[in-house]
Amino acid sequence: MNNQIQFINQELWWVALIIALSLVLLFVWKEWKGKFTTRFFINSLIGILATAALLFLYLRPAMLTEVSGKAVILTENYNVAQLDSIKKKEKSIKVIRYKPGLDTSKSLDSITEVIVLGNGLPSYDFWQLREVSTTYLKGVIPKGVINLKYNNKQQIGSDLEVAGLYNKADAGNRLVLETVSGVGLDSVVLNGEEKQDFQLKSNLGVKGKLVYQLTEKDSTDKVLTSNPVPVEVVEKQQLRIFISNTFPSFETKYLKNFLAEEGHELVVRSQITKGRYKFEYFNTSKNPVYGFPENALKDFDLLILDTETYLSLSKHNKNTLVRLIKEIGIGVFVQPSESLFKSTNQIVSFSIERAIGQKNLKVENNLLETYPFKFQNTNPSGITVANHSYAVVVGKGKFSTTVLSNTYQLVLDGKTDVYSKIWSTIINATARAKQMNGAFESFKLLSVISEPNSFALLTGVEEPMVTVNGEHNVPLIKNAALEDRWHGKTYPNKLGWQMLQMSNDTSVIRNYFVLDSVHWKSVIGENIRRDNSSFFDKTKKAEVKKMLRIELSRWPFFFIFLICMGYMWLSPKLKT
Amino acid sequence: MIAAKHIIQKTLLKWRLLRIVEIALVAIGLGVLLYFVTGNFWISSVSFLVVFALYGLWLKPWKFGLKEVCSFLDNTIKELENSTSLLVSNKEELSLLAKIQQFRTAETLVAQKGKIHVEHKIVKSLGIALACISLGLLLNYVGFINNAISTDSKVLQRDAILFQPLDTLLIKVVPPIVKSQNVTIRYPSYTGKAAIVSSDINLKVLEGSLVNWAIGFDQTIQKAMFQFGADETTMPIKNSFYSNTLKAANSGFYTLKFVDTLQNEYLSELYSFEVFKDESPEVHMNNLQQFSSFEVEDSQEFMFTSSITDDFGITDVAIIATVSKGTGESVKFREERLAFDTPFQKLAKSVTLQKKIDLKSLQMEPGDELYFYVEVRDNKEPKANITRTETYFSVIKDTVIDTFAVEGTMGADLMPDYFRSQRQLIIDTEKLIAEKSTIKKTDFNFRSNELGFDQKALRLKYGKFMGDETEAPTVPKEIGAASISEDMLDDYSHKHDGNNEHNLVKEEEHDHEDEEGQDAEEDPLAAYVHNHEDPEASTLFAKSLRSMLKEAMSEMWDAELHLRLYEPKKSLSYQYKALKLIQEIKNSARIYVHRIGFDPPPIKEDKRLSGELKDIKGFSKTEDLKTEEAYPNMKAALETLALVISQKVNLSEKDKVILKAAGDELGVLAINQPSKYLKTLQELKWLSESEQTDVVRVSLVYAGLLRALPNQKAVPGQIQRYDGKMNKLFLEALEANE
Repeated sequence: MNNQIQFINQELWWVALIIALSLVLLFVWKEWKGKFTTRFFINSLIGILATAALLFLYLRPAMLTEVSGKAVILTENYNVAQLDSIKKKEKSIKVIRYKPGLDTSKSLDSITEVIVLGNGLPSYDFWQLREVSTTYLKGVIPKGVINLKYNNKQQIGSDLEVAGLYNKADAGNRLVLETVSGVGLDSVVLNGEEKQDFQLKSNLGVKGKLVYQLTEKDSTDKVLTSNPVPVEVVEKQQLRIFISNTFPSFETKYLKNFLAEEGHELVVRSQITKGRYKFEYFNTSKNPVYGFPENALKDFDLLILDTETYLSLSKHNKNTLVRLIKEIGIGVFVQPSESLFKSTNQIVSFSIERAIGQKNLKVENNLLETYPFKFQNTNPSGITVANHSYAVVVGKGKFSTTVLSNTYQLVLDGKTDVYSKIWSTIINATARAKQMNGAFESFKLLSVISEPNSFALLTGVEEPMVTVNGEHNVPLIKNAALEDRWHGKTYPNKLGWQMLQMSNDTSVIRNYFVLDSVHWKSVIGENIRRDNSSFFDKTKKAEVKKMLRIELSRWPFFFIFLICMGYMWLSPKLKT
Repeated sequence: MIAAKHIIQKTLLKWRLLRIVEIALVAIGLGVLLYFVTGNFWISSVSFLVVFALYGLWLKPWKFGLKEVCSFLDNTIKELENSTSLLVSNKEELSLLAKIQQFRTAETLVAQKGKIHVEHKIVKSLGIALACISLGLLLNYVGFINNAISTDSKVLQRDAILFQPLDTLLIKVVPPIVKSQNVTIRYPSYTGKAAIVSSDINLKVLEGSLVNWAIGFDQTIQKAMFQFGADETTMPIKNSFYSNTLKAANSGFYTLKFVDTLQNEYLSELYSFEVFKDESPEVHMNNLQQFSSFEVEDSQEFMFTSSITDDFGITDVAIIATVSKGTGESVKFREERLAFDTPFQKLAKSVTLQKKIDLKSLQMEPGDELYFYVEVRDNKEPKANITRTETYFSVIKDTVIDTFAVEGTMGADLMPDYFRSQRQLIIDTEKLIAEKSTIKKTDFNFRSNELGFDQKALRLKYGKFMGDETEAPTVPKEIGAASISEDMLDDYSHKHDGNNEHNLVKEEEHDHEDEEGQDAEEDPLAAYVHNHEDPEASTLFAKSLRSMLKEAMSEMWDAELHLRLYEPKKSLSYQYKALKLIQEIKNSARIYVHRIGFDPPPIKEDKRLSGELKDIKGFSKTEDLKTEEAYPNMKAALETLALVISQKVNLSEKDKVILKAAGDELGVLAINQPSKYLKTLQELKWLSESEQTDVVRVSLVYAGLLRALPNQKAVPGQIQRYDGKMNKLFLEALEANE
């Protein structure tokens, strides 16, 4: 019961108590006439009573009382019919209209049960409903694009693929992927289905922080909605590649030309005869590599070996190679031949099976010659690379091969685009990645102005510092379980491209695009719906007891004090 | 009397008319000259009227009245006795004598009316007029007065050079306006074209032309610049016109820019400057086939016409003919340059010329061939364009050529077609045998003998292959060698054709004893060894061609013998044998050509498979194959513009440098496809010069540049990654599970 009484002005309670005690002592000392008379006792008691009343008047005692109440929170896109039926059932229900960033603690202090209607609360406001039992009643799914998926940081030359789901499309309308200046790049016609998948594609030929637009137009070409699709296009980084062949082949000849023309540093070693090699150096200085020395090879990002070289590796060389892949992260690609797929004595298992009758595969709408084998994809460390290649993760690096043969035929046919696409996919999946000192993670695809945006920084740096646009520092919280993970939050107040940068290593950068709150409302709404359904399902409490501190009325203390004072004033007068 | 009066009136009228014509001619001449000088119709009209009035005042044709006509007539016709004035006097006022004189004079005048010759200076006036007109034409032709013509030319709204200020802050200031603009294109002198003043600012000019821009402003400006591609030149001021001259060499785009006295810059739109080349002349040959042949007896003439056109004028046309005589190694060529029959007018733009070629006049004989083509030059300077037609052939058929045919695949065809072949002989013999019972014996014998003769002729013909026309058979079977006293075939055969031994392969066995002896002397071992190098001597062939021929001829001998003995039936078997042998010869007749192929160098036996590698060397090459990025500046410009659009910032000076460089790259594309890129180029130019950043323009340029860029193909590159603790733990767990 004691812990149910609290004082409102409890900050300086001890000062008040000392003063009160001093007052009581003063009072008792003043009444003390040398002996314990009845009068002394009565007056002292009255004095103590008056002081106590005064003390309580200052401290303002309050009592914790159990409260209960119901409220409905209306968020965007709520269903009016739902609200009406709730109101009919619960006459005295409190209605709170939610706006992003609204503090509901005041309105919810006496509420124990909350019904959320509509899209729900954004995740950064979930804390407001932690104390109450919440029921989330989903509103209608918003009309428009409700799911958007694309890679917002890509390399130059790759394709921007914007995929998504459109809810309640109007038949005949078109979704157009446009440049920022309104030039259509790709479009899809909406067919009026309840939910329609769409995918739009465009080549990324220019580097920089680009903003495309996803525009919905009606059949008369009138723009209905237009939302930005920000993409950061980065320049490709050059690789250092070593190719070792036991004999020259057309496949290698075209591959090396392709790689050299793209500016990669390339060392090609072809065996002429026993112990004699032909070395070709493209875009790099002359520095012959004999055998498989660890020192020379660790500078390479990718080793391309033909099957014969790979299968004839000595045990020592094999160990070196495995160490290079595992510890340094070098990628190894083996140019296949029948014997590669038949051989069992390999560094890794590609889990291959014979595909009887398979002569070619359809890649990028082209039939390409293949070996009659296919990857089973049973290796837990294996990654399928498109439908033609397979990479196995070995430590930090990767080991890969393909079933395609004679891809150079594509170059002869003039299909250099397809050729470069196939080899870019294989090489990108295999080559060593550049090790960074840190990386930003778990950033939302769409961040909206004036809404908190959480991010994580992964770094091994002891005390990392992060700035926004090189101006403001962002405080970081270290993850309890993973020591290289830090969490932070930004509150974007500017539209457009912004930059998060690690001050300790300025090469660790993340650019993000801040949207105006009017953009992508349907996608954001659907995301909130999803977040709310999963969050409120988990935190729903069966019965919440809510104690509220209610202040006791100060009138009684005042009257006690007044009566005491009156007695003290009157008693000497009545005596005389 | 009335007739005389009428004559006087007529003379007066004629006189006045002549004066007016004189005045008019001079006025017209001066008016036309002024028109050429000023180019203004109104000025020339006013000048015409002024000259007409002044000259008229000076000549005063109205002062010439009847009185003057009378005195003129008195002076010219003595017979009138100074009395012409009486004719115009009032009859009542005259005395009787005067009346008589009047009557006489009237009669005389009528009689002498042919003598009246009114003086005039028409020729002189016409000369003045013509001189003035030709002077005007000359000045215009030379282009001497073009600036003067266009100085006052009104600038049409459609063609006006549009300037826009590069800084919008100064909208309140009244900007200088282009008062006059003219572009004079002076064609190269060889074209003979007069200089023209173009109203269109987008120019299309002939290569080598001189183009002059002269721009006048209504206010004084500080300076004007002419920008062509990336070059910028300041335009010098001359007579309050800013002008620039450029020689047309290559196509491009130009803009004009000026700075006013308040330091505000103004830029014009982008105008195209297209340079076209002088085309080569075009020639069409009509009524002519590529190949024509003529019989000896026919007329060897043919005719054709050539239509030739050129854009500026043809200077030279010629037919280059080559006559070839003889065949093979003895062929001789003779080249001739022929002119067309139709006279050709130099510098004509289009002509149709005719030519009749008589092969005989070219001293061509049967078998000779004529090749010819037409060559046309135009008047381009310094180097003329030359067009040549295809080559045409004409041949006079040779009657002497015979087509011999012994057998299709024989090395040499020597058989004249009036010889009966063995097969024909057999057919005729069989026919004779079949008809034996129906014909008279004498006929039968005659025909048998005839066949025998044909058989002989055939044999002798084959004998020529042997190099001996009268060779006796090797093995006469039933009778001895027949002697032939004279060669009956002399009339039929060409003697020189017989010497054909070199066409035959060598003989295995030598007929001539002395030759054999010689050979034996040269190589005593020859008889004892197998000589594999000589295919004829090899034992692979059962019989040589020559011996088979000899055998066939001996069969023919026998066949002839029996035919001559009137025993065609007996002869037939020999004939068949001969035919079979000839067939065999035909099948075995081959021409042997030495096979050419690769002869590998001999491998030294001691080196083979020795595993010696010391002479095999490693090989290394270093190459920089990195290809230059296409349109780097256009890409950089796109990156800049994307930021300008999304961040809504202004273009910095640094950005403008990038845009300028991008403009140079786009300019190259725009020359080839102006319709596609010109607008973008124009806006890009604007952005790179202007002080303000117009968002609409930026968007337009962004879209245009993006359209101009080719698709970037996928390229491999290194990706960036951070290997976090989580990754490591995951990989370790994976490895542990394996």
